[in-house]
Amino acid sequence: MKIAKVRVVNVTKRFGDLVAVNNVSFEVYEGEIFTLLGPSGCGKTTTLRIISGLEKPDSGKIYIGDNDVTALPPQLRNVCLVFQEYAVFPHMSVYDNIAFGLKVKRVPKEELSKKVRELAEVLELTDRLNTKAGKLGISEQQRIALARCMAVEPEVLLLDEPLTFADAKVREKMRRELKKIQRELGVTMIYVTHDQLEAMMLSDRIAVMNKGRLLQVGSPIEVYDNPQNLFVARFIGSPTINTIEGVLVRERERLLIKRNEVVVDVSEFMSSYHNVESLLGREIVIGIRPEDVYLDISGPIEGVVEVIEVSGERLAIHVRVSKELVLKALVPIYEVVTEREKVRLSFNLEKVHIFDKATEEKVSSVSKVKY
Amino acid sequence: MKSHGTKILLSALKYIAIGIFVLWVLIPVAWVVSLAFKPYAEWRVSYFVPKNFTWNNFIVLFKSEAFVGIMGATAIVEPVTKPLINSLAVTSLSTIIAVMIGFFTAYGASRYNTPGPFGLFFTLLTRMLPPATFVTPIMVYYSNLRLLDTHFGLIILYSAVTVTYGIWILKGFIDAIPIEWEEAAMLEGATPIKTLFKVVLPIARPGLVVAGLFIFLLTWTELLFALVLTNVYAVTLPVHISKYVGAVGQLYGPQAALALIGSIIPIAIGYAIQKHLVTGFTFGMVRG
Repeated sequence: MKIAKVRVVNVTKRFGDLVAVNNVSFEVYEGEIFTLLGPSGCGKTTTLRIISGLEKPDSGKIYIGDNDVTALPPQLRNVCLVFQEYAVFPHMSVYDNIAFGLKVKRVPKEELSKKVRELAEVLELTDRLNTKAGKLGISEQQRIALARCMAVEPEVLLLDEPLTFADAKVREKMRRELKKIQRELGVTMIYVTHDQLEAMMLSDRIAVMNKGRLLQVGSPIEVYDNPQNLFVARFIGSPTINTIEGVLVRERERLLIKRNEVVVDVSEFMSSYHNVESLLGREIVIGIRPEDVYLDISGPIEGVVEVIEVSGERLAIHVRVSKELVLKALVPIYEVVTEREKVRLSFNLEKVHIFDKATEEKVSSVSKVKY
Repeated sequence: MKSHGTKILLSALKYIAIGIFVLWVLIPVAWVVSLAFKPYAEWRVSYFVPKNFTWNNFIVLFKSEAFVGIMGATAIVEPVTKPLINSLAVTSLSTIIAVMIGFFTAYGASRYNTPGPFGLFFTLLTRMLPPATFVTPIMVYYSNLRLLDTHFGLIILYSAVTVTYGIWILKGFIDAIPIEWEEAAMLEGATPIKTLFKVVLPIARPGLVVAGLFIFLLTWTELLFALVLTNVYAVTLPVHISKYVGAVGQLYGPQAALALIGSIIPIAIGYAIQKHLVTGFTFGMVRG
């Protein structure tokens, strides 16, 4: 099997006034699972279709391997796409579905038959080969679509939200199988989803998109731990990240974030930032993940516990800090805490993210930690 | 809340209404069946079951028969074999042509929006004028082109006036086929033409069958064009049927027998293909 890398260079695509894909560039390495992640309408599917050749970009280039394929029609690109609804040919048997691409390529009958049976074996479709594909359930249809794609030995396998129509249990199983099969065959895979959890569990690297723009590319851990953008920070992670908005001011040697009557004293950790001076007076957003917020009697933030949810090994507690601000904290299940109790919170300083409210870009990171 | 008595009454009324409708439709048909098996002496009597059952009306159809009517007038009616073959050939070929052209046009209209909604609407133009208004110009045309009384002339005319049904029926079917199936085929390496024949055409098969049957029935029963444009060589069944009414009077018996033969063929075709009418269109859709 040939394995190719994919390069997307400055690709833009408009539909009328809508800029579906706005100057997007990224590179997908050989043999990895690369996920385009974003809410619906963010341009991820359009990007995938541009890579497949089903859409032509208005500008920009697509490279598969070292070849510029921008001008090639889909049938000459040696890529294959598994559609959201699989698009198996309902009027053909499972065998004919898998063999479709090979027949088009005029592969000799014996080789074809051998190949189809091999793939049917890998994807557990052997006893279904003579059934009409339209009569099978979604789990089988997905495997047929995969087998049909794998049969033509694409250099890149594209998947457009293939798990949308499966229910939660089946989805989990299918996701595992998908990864297993990809690892077995080693093919480069570009995967589109709006489900951040799915992206985190499946991918080697994730590209987060919103409103046609590519916001960040990185491993699941990178995009989770080090979001470069407020949108990325908010989109990834469950429960969602805590955000505190306000203007950063210095009053009597204390650093405060102020918004209307809300005042949060952040001197404890903001003083460790090397560029605090440049942030003063600006609208900023602080992001801190719930698991990086913990109960601390000497913590700088005070609030009242509103809701406690048990989530597996941990408690998700919602603490009302002010009229407008509720902070979520994921704490170990053995913490003794009750609803309506007054608590003090502290942040893990290393995990605090600061964003410019206007640009939503990350403006700074912690240079060093000092307590 | 309706009482039990009202319910029974309503249900009775419903069946009476249906019964009247069925009789309305079936009495003429029953009359034709009855006539076809009656000897000459019984044609003008008003009972259904023939007193002297006969196959003679069918037998004369296949002979070159001289009928002697009242006042000694005679008419020679050719055997039905040739018109029957003509009708089968002309109807089948023009149906196939109309359905195929209709399919490709409908595909273009559905996927590439050609010739635009306006153009598509105007393909209906051939059906908006009563055929009687343009049968004379066509006769003049055909006379100049030496297409009068030819199979070819009938076939191109019939395909031209029925193709719009093919387009409109098939457009509905093709619109309902998800474009992902075609895209999937292209990503497997198939050219657009191959995709059209290997994927769209088989999936649209029920649509082809519906359009084909509809056009076949229209063409099979067409009288006006055939009457004006044919004479000896390319005479079709409806024209032939009309020849049993003429100088010698009304030859009800053979006419009824021929009408039976003429309707058995489309009934048989319809019966043979009915399973294609219903199967296969909804299967394969993942979305519930």
